[in-house]
Amino acid sequence: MAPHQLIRIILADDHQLFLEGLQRLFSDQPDIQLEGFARTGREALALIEARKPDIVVLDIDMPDMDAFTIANRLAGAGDPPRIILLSMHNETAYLLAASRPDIQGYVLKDAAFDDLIHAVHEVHAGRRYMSAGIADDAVGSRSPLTPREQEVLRYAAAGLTTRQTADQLGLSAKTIETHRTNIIRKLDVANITEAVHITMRLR
Amino acid sequence: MKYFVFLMLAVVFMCPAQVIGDMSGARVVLRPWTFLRGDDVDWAKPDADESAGTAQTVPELFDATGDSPMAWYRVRFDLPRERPAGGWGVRTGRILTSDEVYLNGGLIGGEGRIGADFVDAPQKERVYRLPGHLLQPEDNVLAVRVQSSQARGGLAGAVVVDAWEEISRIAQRQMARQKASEAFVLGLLGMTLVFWAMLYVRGVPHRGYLWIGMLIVLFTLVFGLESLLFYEAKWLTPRLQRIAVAALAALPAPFFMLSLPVFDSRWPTLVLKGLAGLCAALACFIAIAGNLQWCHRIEPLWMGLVLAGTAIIVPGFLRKGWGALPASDLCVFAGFLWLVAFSLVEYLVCQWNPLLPPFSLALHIGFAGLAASLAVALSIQYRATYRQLRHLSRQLVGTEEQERKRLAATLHNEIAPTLSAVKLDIQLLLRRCPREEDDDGKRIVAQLSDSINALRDFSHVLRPAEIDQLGLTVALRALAERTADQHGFSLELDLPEGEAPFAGISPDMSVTIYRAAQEAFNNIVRHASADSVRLTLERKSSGLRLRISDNGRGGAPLQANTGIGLLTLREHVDALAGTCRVTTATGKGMDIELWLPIN
Repeated sequence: MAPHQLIRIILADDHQLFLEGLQRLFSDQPDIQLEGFARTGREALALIEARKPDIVVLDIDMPDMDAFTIANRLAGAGDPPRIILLSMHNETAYLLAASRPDIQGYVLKDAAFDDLIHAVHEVHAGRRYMSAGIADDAVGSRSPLTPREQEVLRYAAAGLTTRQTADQLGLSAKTIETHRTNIIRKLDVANITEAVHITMRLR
Repeated sequence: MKYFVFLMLAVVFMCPAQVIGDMSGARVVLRPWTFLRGDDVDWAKPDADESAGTAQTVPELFDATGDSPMAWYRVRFDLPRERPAGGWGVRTGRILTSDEVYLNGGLIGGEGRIGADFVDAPQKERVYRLPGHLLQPEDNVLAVRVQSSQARGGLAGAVVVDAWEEISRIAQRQMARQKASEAFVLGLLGMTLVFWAMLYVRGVPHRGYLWIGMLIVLFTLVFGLESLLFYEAKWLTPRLQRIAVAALAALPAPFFMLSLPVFDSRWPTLVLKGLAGLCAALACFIAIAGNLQWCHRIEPLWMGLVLAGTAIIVPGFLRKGWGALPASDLCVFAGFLWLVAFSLVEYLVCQWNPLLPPFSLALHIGFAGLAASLAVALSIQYRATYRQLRHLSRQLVGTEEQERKRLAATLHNEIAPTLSAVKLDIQLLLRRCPREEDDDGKRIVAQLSDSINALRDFSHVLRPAEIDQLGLTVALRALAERTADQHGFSLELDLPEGEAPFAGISPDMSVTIYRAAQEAFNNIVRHASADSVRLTLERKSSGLRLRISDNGRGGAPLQANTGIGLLTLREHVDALAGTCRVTTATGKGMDIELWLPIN
């Protein structure tokens, strides 16, 4: 990613107030250019067709079309933009449903301030990003854990199993297991659930 | 219908074929009979004055409506030389209606009671033992004293004096068949009564139930008294007997009332109610004030009432068609017509030739038919009521679920995003103007986060959105895998691939399955300390089967906890006509099986 290159994004959310908040969030980001915003799935599709953005930030629950349908449509067309889902749902089922190659990011709406800019940069850089909801503030910078371990812990807090985490991060289950063992050792806890609880309390 | 035919055949085969006095094999020849009208206790004596008597053939009946309902029959006979091992006996055949039998002046038996405290006797064949000390080799006198409650009285069958062994053998055979058929009808009736009482006590509300119940009680009373008391008990009082007859007379009233919905117009309804009232009045009269002799005299009146009612009901019914009455009423209706038809046969046969035994086979068939129809009617009504209840509770649960869904959607799609937007705005504001009071800002943001999380959790309890949006399989898999991973037990999942198997499944069913699984996992996490859990979801053509079993401690009862709560879950399962089975034993884990039928 060349530093001068702008990241062109489109926002789609049916919630007016939240959409406005997002616009303000992105307005002072010099390297991100807001190409437009949409309030329905159809508008989003039309806008993406017209502007060909790098990344589209999609609300998962739009009334006329949910984000998965939009992703399917986009996958059918050539050269789809990368997709970051915006959602209120922190259920594991949604994280699992979003674990598909054409969806690169999953950000909780109430963690937008903390995560969304970062998510856009990560996804633009070709990585996957998942805001891990309840664990987003849990793993602070003073943590004894390495960034990878923090990430693994975040996935664990979101309810993903070892295998699911491995799939998400593109690593082997054995590696994730090692990370988990290290986390348990470093935090001096009995199991990963306790680790999640302790880090939540530290917040 | 199959059962009905079966029952009828059973009754037909069990009912006795009644035979009029059979003369063959009679060892003792009786001399001609003398008939004496009126009553004089001296006529029992061997040397009584028979000048008032007339020669008579037996069987023969006399007109009992005249001055006196009483009469005497006298006959003389000699005994053969060789005495049979069991001694001698006499079979007098049927007698209308009560009798006393004397041998050479000594009373040897009788059925019913004669005189002021008159009691009707059952219309059965009588057999009496002839005591050896009263017998003499020649010129024995047999005197039969008769009192009738009916229009006619007297000896209705051939009189046979023979070896007691022979006589009692025939009598026992007849009695056994009679009792078997009565016990059968009575058993059928008892079952119907118990069935009805159970339904009524359980509070299944229906107007028809009252009428049906009344029918059954009346019917039981009549038949029970007849069968248990008339034949067995010597303590049968005239009052008890009158009550039984009164109950019989009242029987058409509930039938008429039950048939009222067939008619739209006023007059037939009024007439039927009037007839029902007459039947009830007749019954009261018999029970309270009536002389038992009256009972049989008003039999034609009663039969007339029944026929008149039937004549009103049947055409009205034919005009309205089969759909006019609910299926259960229809059943009772058919059962009653059946009884009326057989009663009529019995009545006509008796009128045509009073010497014929009462055609109790016909009445038994009639009564058994009515009892069977009552049982069928009750089960039809029970099923209808049950279905209605389930429909209602399903509607209720459906409405509740709709409401939950709407509420969850509002919280989740409107309020939570608004709060999130506010949170975002505040965070942006705090970033733009960092000030000393930053801690306050952070506190506000933290409070907002808490509210959003609370809203999210609550909305998820109200309605797990992922089922509607992502499908049951994904939702269940996520729930199971997360719980297993967080609480460190191994998981064996057997779920159908993809969502296609659940294409035709209502959202209610999916949500119920999901919530059941949620409850089961909550229970496992809290009480079971299991290290292995197995979850199976099968889609069968007739329904969905969810099974969750663990290898934990077991024995712990399922408790209502977080989530929707066990009670509500049970309601939902009931509303979907499903079943939930929990098998557990201490140390053997717990096995929860949920079955939800499709339609």
